[in-house]
Amino acid sequence: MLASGENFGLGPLEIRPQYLVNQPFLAMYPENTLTLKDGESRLSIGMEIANTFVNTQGPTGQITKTEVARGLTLSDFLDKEGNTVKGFSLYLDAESKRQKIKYRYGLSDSLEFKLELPFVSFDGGTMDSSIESVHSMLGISNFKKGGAYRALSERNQYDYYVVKDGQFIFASTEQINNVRGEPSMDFKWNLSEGNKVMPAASLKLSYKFANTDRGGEQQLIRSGGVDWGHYFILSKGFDNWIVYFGEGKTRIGNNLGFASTLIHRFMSMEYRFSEEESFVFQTVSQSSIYPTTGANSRSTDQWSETQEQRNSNLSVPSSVSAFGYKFMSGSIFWETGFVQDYNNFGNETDFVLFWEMGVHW
Amino acid sequence: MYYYALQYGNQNTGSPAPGVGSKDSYLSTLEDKHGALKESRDVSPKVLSFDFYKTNGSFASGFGLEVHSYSKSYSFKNDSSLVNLSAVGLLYGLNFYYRGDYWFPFIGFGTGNYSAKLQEQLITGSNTTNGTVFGQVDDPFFYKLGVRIPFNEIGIVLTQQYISADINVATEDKPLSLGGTASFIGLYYSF
Repeated sequence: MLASGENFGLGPLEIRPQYLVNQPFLAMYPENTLTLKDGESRLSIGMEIANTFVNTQGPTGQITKTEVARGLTLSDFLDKEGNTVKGFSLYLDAESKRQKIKYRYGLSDSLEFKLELPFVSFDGGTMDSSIESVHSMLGISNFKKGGAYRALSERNQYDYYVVKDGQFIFASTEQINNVRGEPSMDFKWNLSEGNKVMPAASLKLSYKFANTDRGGEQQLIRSGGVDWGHYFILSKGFDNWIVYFGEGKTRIGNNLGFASTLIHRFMSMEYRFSEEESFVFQTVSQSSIYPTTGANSRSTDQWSETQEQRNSNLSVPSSVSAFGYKFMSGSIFWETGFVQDYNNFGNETDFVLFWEMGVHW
Repeated sequence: MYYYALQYGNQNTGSPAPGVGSKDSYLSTLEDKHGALKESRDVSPKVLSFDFYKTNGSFASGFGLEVHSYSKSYSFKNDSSLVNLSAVGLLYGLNFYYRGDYWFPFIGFGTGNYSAKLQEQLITGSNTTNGTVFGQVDDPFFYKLGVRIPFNEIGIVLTQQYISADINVATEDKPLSLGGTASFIGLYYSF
């Protein structure tokens, strides 16, 4: 069904951004240039588990275990002189579990349709101690920026606070379980299979449906607006290696005060060590979900960061690297891997584990 | 065919990549306020790279991944203001080789991303302001040419590389080049 070609492999890792604040919105993610053939179907389920920890009040010690235990208020997000902060302030301590059901169908030999429905949970999780141990092993202090000030907080707790210009956008301490997100559909068109010189090329168009029922916990998972986006993907084979590039954009309909567009780019290197199995290394860059604000990025503090500086830093693009394994044999397939951020701007997840499995016919 | 290489060299961040780069203005804006830079715009990156190739007679085409890292401190003639910069680039792209008898000339081009941390300590009269800016360039472009000189599995690689990678520094809202014109020499291992 997915026979290997000159410029096709088993494909990149199909992992979307998992950052908490991105969860309600459509996010374009990498895919193979290859499409299912006419009349073929594939049904899959998957799960993505992400650990996110951001404490913009960590450097000044304004939010620690004590403040979180009594419940955070807007006053905890003022600057240390008691002034309202321009732009964004964050306290994110959560593990998200995004489960998904995907169905793909080949409308023709080069046009594929996909429908995807997510179910999302937010809780305290179990990965905090492992992540802190890895930080310590690498010599990264969990009391400092490199360790995201994790040591100031209890492990495996759930708290989700986003403040913009002194007002809460999100304030949640109640765990949520399997809340149905908004469905999305894709059309992917394989424009060219390429040849020995030219790469294969595909264009993916995605559309997220709006569900305006955003009461209670649903507001964390649903934007209530229509989002759409595109990804243009190239792939080129070099014997057992296949390289993929992609560049895309998500347009957010109801942005809730965040960015109205997201720019995506990926590079993926697949090594096929057998007809059925591949290892994949992938890097993904994405513009920030936080728009640029007019916050002042200089201060009179000696070599320290003000909250306004950190706010400016939140708006820069971020990058992650991913490693994964893909298997496809007969009518079944499996992919699994992990994602690690490598620049720690506070606008990306710390660590993601994911898997997906399915059948095709 | 696979190549691992470690290279070291000089990169003039003030010399824009011909055809694709443009002159930056962040440091020149600070020079207007604090005096000329005491240091040159040269940096000394370390470059670690991995390439794989598909050979076809005397020609080969392939894909390469390279990590560049460097740091640099700048000071100014009129006062004791300082700017510290550290940058890491993850670049990738296509390479094309001619496999001669004694040397393998190559050309390549590609993109990737650069991450940078910039710390300012700027003095104006009796006032000192500080800033720490993180930035990323997610649409750099580079092209390069060079030669590998093989001695069995190990060899010497010489590279001339031109990189366009400007970050916008939020404190001044001005671009700063992380790329420029670079010359590298190093060793590689092939298998």
